[in-house]
Amino acid sequence: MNLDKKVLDKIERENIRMIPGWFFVLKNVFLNACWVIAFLGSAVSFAMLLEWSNADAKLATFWSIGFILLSFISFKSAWRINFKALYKYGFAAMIAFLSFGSAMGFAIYSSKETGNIEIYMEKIPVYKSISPEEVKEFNSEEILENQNVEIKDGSTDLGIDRNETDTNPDITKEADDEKSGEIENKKLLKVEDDGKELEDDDERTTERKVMDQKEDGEDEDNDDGEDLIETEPQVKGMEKERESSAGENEVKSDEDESFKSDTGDANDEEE
Amino acid sequence: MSQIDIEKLSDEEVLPLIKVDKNFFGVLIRRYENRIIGYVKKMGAESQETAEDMAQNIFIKVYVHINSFKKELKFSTWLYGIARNECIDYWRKNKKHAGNISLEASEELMAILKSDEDLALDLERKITAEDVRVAIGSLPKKYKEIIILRFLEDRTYEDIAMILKKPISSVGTLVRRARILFKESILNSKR
Repeated sequence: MNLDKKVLDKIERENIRMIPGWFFVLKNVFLNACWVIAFLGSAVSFAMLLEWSNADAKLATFWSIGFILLSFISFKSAWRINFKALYKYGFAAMIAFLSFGSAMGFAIYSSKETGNIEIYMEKIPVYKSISPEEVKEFNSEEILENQNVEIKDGSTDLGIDRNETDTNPDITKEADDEKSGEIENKKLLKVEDDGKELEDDDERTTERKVMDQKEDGEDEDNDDGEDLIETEPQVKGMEKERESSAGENEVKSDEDESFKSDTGDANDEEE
Repeated sequence: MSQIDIEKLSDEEVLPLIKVDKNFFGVLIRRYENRIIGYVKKMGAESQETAEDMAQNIFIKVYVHINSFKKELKFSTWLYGIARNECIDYWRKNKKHAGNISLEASEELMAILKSDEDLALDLERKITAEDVRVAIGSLPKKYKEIIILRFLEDRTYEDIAMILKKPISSVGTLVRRARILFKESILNSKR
């Protein structure tokens, strides 16, 4: 038979050479890199497609769950044999990789502030999305609560020093905007209900007026244009406050008038 | 190193020597040529010459891809895997011979199957080699492969699993189904 001689002669004659080991290493590296690129690319593209298409929640869920199930079945069957068999069952394994990655990518993209996560969350009966109006209401109530705490304790509002707010034009602007209108009215009503609170409030307003007068005097001394520009909103804010405090005083009882008379000089000058 | 020493070495120990000198490859060819030719014939090679040509191609493929051999495998298992792939290529090219095994192989198979405890109780003793050949030919390829590897080549479940690239549990299931199908097929051919 001499098959060995035949084979060796053929190898010699046709100059057949064995493939070097590094070639197989490179081949494995290349194939694995292809897997990774395919996995990442398709995951991102699938997520982007779903994102841009504004897909219905049910449809998107259906695809994601379907892909995951399919990938789980196919990947398990491919993986349990051996890693080399992954190339043989390449299609199944690729579906497994890509679908799992797609589902993950979709979840990541949805979790951004794109609103898609809301679609899913609203399907959960416990969860209820909050409208912007409700958020505003919630915030205004929170501010009121803070305001009450400040009045009772005499502490600062949200950690900002009252004197600082009076002198800093930016803060006074914000403070004036917030406190004007409803907040002040509500505050008034609450003060009417509680006598103690009323007294504290009046004391505070008088203190503030005295402080304002002092500061006005200081500002008048300054001739710098910049300072004047900066003090404009501050003055406006103070005027508003005084008007509101004047309104309060009109509504209030005779006790308030006695306070007015105490600080009468300053108020008369302003008027 | 003398000829006697080389013959004592295992297959896995001979492989690094082939990378140094290709003449050492002759040792492995001599060890496996008969088994590989027999396996190829059982898998459907139509003649002795075809089987030898196929065996030659198999050994050349082994030589070319010798650096991709993994140490955790047995050389014989790896060799049978390459031989199987060669047979599949042959089946693709020659579809008419795909289901046939040689009469010689069917006689060998008949002797083995008669001694098999599970089958010997049920099968009639009067079956001929031709009956076995027809029955094997009528089986799907995957069961035919299993019967050849398990009963004719006497490979273990682990080896079959590596050759066919299937889990061992699947190999067990395939062997059981192959037995049942073969028995049914041979009984049908007798009727």
